[in-house]
Amino acid sequence: MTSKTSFNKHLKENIRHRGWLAAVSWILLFLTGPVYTMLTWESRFSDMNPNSFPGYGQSLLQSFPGVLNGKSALPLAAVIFLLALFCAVTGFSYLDSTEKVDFYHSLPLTRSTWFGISYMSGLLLFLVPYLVTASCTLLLGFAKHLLSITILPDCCLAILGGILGFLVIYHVTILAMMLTGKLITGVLAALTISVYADMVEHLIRQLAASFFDTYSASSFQVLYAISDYLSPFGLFRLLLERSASVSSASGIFPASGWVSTPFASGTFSQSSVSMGGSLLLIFLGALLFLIVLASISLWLYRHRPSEAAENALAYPGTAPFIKILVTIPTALYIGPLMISQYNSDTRWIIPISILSAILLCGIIEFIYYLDLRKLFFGYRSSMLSIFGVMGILCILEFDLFGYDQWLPQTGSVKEMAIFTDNFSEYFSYIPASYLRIHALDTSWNRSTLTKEYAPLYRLAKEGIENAENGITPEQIRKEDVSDNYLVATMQFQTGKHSSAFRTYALEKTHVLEALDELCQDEEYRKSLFPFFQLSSEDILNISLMDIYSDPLTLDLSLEERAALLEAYEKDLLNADLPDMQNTLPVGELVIEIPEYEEGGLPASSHSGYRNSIPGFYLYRDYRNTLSLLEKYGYSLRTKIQTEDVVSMLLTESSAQKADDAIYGDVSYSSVYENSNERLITDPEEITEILTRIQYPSGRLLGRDTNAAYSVEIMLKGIPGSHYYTLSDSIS
Amino acid sequence: MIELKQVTKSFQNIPALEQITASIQEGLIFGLLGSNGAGKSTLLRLVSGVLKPDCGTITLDGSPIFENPPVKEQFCFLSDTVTYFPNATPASMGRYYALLYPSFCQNTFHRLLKKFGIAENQKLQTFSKGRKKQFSLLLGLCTGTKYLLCDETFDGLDPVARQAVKSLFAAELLKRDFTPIIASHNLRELEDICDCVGLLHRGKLLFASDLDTMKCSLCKMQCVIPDPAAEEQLLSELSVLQYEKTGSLLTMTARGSRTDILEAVHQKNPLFAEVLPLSLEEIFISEMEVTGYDIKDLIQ
Repeated sequence: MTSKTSFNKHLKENIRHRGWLAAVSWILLFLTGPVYTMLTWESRFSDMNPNSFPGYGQSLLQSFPGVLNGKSALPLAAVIFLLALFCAVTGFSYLDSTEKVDFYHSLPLTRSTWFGISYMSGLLLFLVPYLVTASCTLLLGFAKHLLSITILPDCCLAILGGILGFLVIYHVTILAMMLTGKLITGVLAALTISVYADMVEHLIRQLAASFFDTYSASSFQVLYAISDYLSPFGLFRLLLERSASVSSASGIFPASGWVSTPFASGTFSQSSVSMGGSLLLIFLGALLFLIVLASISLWLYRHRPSEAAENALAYPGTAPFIKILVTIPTALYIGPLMISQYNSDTRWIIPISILSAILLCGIIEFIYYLDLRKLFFGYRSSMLSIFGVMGILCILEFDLFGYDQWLPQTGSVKEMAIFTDNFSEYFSYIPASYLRIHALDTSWNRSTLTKEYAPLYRLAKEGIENAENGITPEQIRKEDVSDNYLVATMQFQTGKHSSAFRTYALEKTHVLEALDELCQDEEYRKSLFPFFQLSSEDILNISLMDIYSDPLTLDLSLEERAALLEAYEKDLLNADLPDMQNTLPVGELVIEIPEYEEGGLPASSHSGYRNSIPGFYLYRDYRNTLSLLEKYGYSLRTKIQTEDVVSMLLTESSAQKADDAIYGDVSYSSVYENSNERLITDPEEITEILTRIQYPSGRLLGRDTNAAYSVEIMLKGIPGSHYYTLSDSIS
Repeated sequence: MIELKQVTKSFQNIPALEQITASIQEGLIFGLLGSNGAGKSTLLRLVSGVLKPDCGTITLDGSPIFENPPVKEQFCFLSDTVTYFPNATPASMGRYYALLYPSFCQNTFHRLLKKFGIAENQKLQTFSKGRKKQFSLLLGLCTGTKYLLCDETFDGLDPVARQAVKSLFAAELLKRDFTPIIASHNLRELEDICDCVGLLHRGKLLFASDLDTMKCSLCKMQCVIPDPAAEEQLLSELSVLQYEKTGSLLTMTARGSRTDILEAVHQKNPLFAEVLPLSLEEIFISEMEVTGYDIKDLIQ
């Protein structure tokens, strides 16, 4: 048994032998720690005047832990990752040389002791400079009077997160070094293990998206959790992110969602799932992960044959398994990747993937033996890999499990929700930070789930039939075949925690009917319209925007503001849903709420740290709101006056030329000789065009994409130009 | 005493050592002979605890060596390819070995460095191959271990250094309980230093025994016997390992003591008879021929 004193002496000697790494570690951490932070501060201070942004100090304070572990300083995160790799590789690289193994293992120390020495010295080579440079960064913050003592616990957690993040990659690399016998294969294995789960997760999504018509990006949510917790790189990222965001996020103990936005571009937010879990849980998970990896590595080291040095793999028995595990996902990944690069037909995925599998098998065998004659040495595992790829592709191509036809029995569905791509265009969603502060459900899909899902179920059936008939979401998105269709994502909640998602191409009128039917229920309506998530006490200002697109802040007393909001709520609850699609608004309210930071610096220095949320539309039949506005002395302008126009840029849409039928025999070829744009300054022409401009907002289920002309108008006294479409042809 | 029982070791299903059973006595210089690839280095790596045998046991006084630091403290293995820590100097290596080996003698270390003209603080990576080997031997000697395992250690040493090291070995043997085990394919190099030898060939130990006993049990003789029938009778009476006839001069190597063989020759009334000195190489050639191995393939 090696005594503690003796162990420490060995440790000291080991660190001394790796002096160069110590120097690299100090330099890199110093440059990406205090130096980078100082430079960033300097540039930010020179860009903005902190006095004009009272929340700046608070914001900086909240983002500060991120600079200690790389969450807000990407170079530091990269350095932590690289140093973890270097420390592990240099600590155990002697295992890859026969001479060095002879030297080390002939000395009177057990392998466990050697493991301990190399492990500890690698850790110390990072830990000491990291702690010192992080302390320097902290001191800098205090010296510049940017920090207060209250931030210290958060900073300590961020540093702990950085250390755990380092350890995750460090342990993975050590494991990779134990499994391999060459430096290059060790490094490759470390990188592969680090991102393997992410790659598989991405692969499953990629393949599903390529082969299934009804695939929704919100499906397979469990994969996000797997890629976060089982992927070392995902865990590394999660540790840095979460440990540096304690104050502004869910805290150490709560297990609520982290970042959430509604279905972004038709998908549920990845982050709402993947970044879930409390920090304590993540730390405990990471610790467990580290203990498991360290135990496996130690066991492997103790049983590692010394003759493994200079062989690609330390345990030759693992060679076929590794080949299969690498070849199948990589080959399957290459196919869709190539297709996406060259925009080819998905049918090419199959031959490309099979060809890739064959090549990969050869490459892996070459890495194993470095002998061209042995390219087909492990032919059994090569065949298994190739057949594995073919089998998976067959399942996907012929949809053997009926993914696209899947529709659960009504008895097994508890709730359903619908989201169309157009919702995010029409609605302005409330920021997740606001919802979280108010303990509201940040995942929009959950709040729109309804038990009275019969109309949605009908839509799902229609979607499946459409897919069978070749009307697919991809076709709708890509080719824009018809304005009659839209893409909608449907959620089937089959259990408390189990749900499935499918995306369908649906007829707009049917969706509108279904929504109208659902909105007869007030609760559903409230969950659909973001307005109902706002609390009137939080509203700082209300602005009115009409066709001039120039928000006018309403000068209202608190009572008047409350009355206005009440009137709007009433109108919204009574509004006719088809009107939201078939008619255009006459104006909209823009509501200003305080901005709640996520822990990062404000995205825009001009926002004044308030959130302006537009999109609370006013229709002609919103009589309560409109009359109240009238009463307060605010009227909505529905036409732009010719004298208010500075200039006008008329654009012919590309669809126009192919759509002469709509616009009769009017020919503009003489007008647009070489371009489809024309600058209009003639008052008569301006007046004529102004009679045809429409309110520049979307409709509930998407705007009219057939509008032949659009116009950009520069208005007097209003900065920038404003975009409008024309309702009719011009003469 | 080091004991090997039925030791087998394979590398990627290629046997390197098969069923080796032998014992190495203390206080003697043991020479491990064999052609290239015979398994000498593998055997030394097994004995030093670098490798674990696939089957069989290797013990020192009954205790296993592999993963047993107290036992390994009695071994110092000097590999064929000398390896040191990066940026190491003789002084730093000395310090490190002193940490590992309780009986490391710093005084002897510094004295020997001085004697051999090795600068204490010069980087070892700047040393020539021979110089590195010299230093490796000195380091090994200073560890004070009971067993010093030298794998082709004399290769690359100049004759003077070689002689000096041999003298150091002899001095150590007189001073303390010391057993060098030297693996080499160079028989001449080992002849004047080894007490015991073991011969490995294609992973198998052909024999291991005391060199003097071996020399006493073999005799090389030149004689001229005028009567061909008597000569024929002599060859059949003796256990002849090898013989050669040039004209009437018969040169033979036979098993048995010198007295017995001389007596048998004299009974045949030779015109001339004399005993010739027997080299280690000749012993091995003779033994190899008996076991049916082609000598040209074995000894370089």
